Amino acid sequence: MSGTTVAGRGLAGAVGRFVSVPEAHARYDTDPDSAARWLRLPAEAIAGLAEAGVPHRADPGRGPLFDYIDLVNIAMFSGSGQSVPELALRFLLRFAASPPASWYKPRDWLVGIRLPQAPGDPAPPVRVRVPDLGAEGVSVVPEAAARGLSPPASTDPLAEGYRAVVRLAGARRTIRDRRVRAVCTEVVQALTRGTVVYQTVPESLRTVHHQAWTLGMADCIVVSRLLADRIRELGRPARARRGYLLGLVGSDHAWCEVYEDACWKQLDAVFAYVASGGGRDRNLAMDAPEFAAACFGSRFNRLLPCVADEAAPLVYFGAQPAPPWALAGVSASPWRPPDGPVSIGASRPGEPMNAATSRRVDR
Amino acid sequence: MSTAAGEARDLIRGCLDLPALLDRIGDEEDLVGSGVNSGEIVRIALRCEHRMGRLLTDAELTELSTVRAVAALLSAADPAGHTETKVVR
Repeated sequence: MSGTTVAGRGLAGAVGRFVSVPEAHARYDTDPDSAARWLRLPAEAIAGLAEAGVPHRADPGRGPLFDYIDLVNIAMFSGSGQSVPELALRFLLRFAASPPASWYKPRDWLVGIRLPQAPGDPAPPVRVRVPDLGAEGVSVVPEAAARGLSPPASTDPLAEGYRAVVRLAGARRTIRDRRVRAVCTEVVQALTRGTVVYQTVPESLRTVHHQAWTLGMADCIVVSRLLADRIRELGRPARARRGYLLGLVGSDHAWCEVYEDACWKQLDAVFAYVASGGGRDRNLAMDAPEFAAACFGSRFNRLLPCVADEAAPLVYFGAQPAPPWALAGVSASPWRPPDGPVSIGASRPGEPMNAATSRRVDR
Repeated sequence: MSTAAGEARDLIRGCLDLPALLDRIGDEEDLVGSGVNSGEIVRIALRCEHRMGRLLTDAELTELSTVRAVAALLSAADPAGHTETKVVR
């Protein structure tokens, strides 16, 4: 098997295993050929999903047009174990199998944000969120800064990509407030039991996260916002955070933080769900009880928070949140100071990196 | 170009929607920064696992960002330079 495509025959089997995007939030604008390119699914099999009952709009020229999020979920729930979304998550969470000490020790990451090309003529401006250097555990690496790899100093979204080195230091913590633990446990159990399906959710439904939860669909962003609301109802400060999960690549991720013992402690219900055996039908599940427990309070050296109030989107096309594929240009890799003096080619802090640029890896 | 780098390039090229893109990327240049998308990186990692006949560790995955890194990974797994594909799943 090449590992690059998914057998078409299994796609229709995913129908009914997740919640389709309600019509009011759907955008039926993805044709089979485009979906095939992005998801590495056979175009013929995608076209056949119309007959299998997947919501769509018929277009005489382009064939059936689907909601992109529905197709991502079909890829995830087809049971192939080979689609790009499920493989990415599985690769990114492999760190949970490493020794616990490795989750917390300070680690330097080279992060690259390549600006996506927005569609349209004229194309709307693209803006990307920047790392939150004010967050606990996030810092600049002086040796990298001397080589022009400082994170952007601005807290406003940027209209250009960037390459920067950040030091992420984790912290082993627990949540003392039993009520907060109970709220988080309740959310994890709803996902584990399947009362609410862990799946991809469109950005418009993420903004009405309680509605998404009631419809039976949730992703990390819905969960982080829901948790923050429920914890605030208990009278304790809480906030939803969004940034990048770093590893093989950088991936959009959100989590909740609760203020306790004079610091912000992280609550990651989605990580806890996967580490507790959730998502077995998508080959995501892990049997990692120690990691699941750490998701209740600890901060990991893999999560780079961005300046984004209440888990706001990381990329915008004009005034609108960008679709998920816009994050396909986020790279991450360990950074080590290169031998020798600072190179002559060192550039200014927050050096831009756009689609057309190609840079040497500094390590 | 070394044999290892050549094999790495063959593997990577097979994972790209636009294989010619690889011709413009140096051995030490960051793949994503040079235009390879994250979906293609995921496929490169999967192809490496198939080639090596085992799951990659987290440490190996995080290093997999350049042609040279892919070549080093494949060389370490198969120092004799054999390229037999092993299917493990």
